Amino acid sequence: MSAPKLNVADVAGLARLSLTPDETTKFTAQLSQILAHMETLGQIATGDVPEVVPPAQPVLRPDMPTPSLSVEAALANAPAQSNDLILVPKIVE
Amino acid sequence: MSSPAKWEAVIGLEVHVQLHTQTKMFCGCINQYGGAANSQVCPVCLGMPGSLPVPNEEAIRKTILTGLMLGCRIAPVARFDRKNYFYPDMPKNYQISQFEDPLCAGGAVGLDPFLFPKDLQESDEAKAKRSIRLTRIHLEEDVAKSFHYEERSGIDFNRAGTPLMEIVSEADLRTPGEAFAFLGSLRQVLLSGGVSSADMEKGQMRCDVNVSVRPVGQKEFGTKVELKNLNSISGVRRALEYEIGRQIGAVEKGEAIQHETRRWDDDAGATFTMRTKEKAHDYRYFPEPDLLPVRTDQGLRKAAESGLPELPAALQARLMQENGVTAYQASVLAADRVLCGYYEKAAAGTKHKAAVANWILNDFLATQPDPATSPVRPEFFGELAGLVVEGVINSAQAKKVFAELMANPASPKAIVEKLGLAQISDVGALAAFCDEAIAANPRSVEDYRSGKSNAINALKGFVMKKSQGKANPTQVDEILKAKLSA
Repeated sequence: MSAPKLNVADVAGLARLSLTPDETTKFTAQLSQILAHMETLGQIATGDVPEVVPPAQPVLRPDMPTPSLSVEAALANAPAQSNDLILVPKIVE
Repeated sequence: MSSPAKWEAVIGLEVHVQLHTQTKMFCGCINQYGGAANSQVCPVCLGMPGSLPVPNEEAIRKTILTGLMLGCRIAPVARFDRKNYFYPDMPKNYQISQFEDPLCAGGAVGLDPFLFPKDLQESDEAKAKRSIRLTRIHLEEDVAKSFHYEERSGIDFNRAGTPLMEIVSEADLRTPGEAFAFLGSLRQVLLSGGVSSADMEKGQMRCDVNVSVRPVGQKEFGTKVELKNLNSISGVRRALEYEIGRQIGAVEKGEAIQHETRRWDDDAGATFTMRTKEKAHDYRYFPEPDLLPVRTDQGLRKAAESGLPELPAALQARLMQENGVTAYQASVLAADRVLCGYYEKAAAGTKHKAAVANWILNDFLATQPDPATSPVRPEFFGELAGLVVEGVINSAQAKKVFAELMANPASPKAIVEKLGLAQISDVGALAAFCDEAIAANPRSVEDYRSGKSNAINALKGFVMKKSQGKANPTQVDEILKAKLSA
């Protein structure tokens, strides 16, 4: 069973990972094996198997406010802050 | 030069609507604009590890309600998915959204002719009353608000995680006027269901536009451009007018349209390139593993159905049929449910429902009232309209009563008495005035009798003056004519 088309460099780019060419080659081979293995699931005929619908509703929340964190607690882990805003490197789309 | 007859635009809209709920989509932090920065946040909406989302039932109900109001198919089972991207306004590095199985699919928005721009309401495009198909409606969480400074950006997470509904239209719109009417008509429906205040200028409704041009008659779409930074319904119209002209101009010069996102600058009245779309975004959607699929067929849909309002089109038809208001008046009333409720209360106790509509929509509205809190009780307008129709006061006197009603709200009957305005309808008193008029104006009497029917106006004027404007003009006319032809 052949693995689906895989572009590790693209995926790494989307995940903000910088891979060396060696790593890219290595991970391409490893991930291809994993995907090929997963492809075996496709051999099972599921054409007339009905979809499993969860029997019950997930837990939903009534629209009632609960306490929030204090501003101090919310900002406690922020690397930088100013005027109660969390500061980040400037990003303008 | 652009020749509009040869080209047509193809427009699709993606409308984001902030839902009116007490709390956020997946946590109990309050959903309210204007709080102190980062004061309405918790581990869930800050994306802290180990926190788990729990969906807000009311947000799901309001999304289903929107779908029902717009004639969508409601998915019996809907799912949430993760949309993955990196941006500081989204602390989890993914947004919980819906991809494969949104809550609503299909449906349509009917374009109300009176919700076209004023200058187009008599146009063919407004009269066509087109229906614009919807692709889908899904529910997701909003992102944080960013403030950009010289070197850094600051983030306020109060808005992060608040419920946001995305309504996607098919590329059915053809003109800037239609896009304008689409947003107005959609807003009217959202308001009628209490789903959102949907005010674009307050960011409660946000709109991205996709637009391309093609030669009339061509089936294939041209290269589309996405427009952003549209902050009002009229801004959407202006941006489209500019952008369509720009694209036609470019194509006629033989230039290719770039597949790009352009930013509308309302002050400059032009669009500018933000980024080109060389590569389609890859959001690597996958099913949100922290949330089970939502079943709408176990009570959620029923709950939404029980909240179905009278839709704008049905309300307009009823007001026109039962109350005799004009199509325009019906549209104004349907657009403002508070005003409409006020009007319906005013009209409830009187036969003169169309006259009440005139008073409220012309005179009362001109005073920029807040019908919800106005000290002028709606029943007063029913009473005022009745006084005029029944001839107790004439229309000039009614204007005086109205002015007094606004200044010192009280029953119009009481105002008429207080100002001594009641029209004289007593035949004996009126006949005496008429005799006086005939005696004092022999010339006009002669003119009238020799065929100059206008001459009677001088006699009427005399009676009105003598009666200090209180004579019932219709009766005076009858009495004078009877006396003059005797």
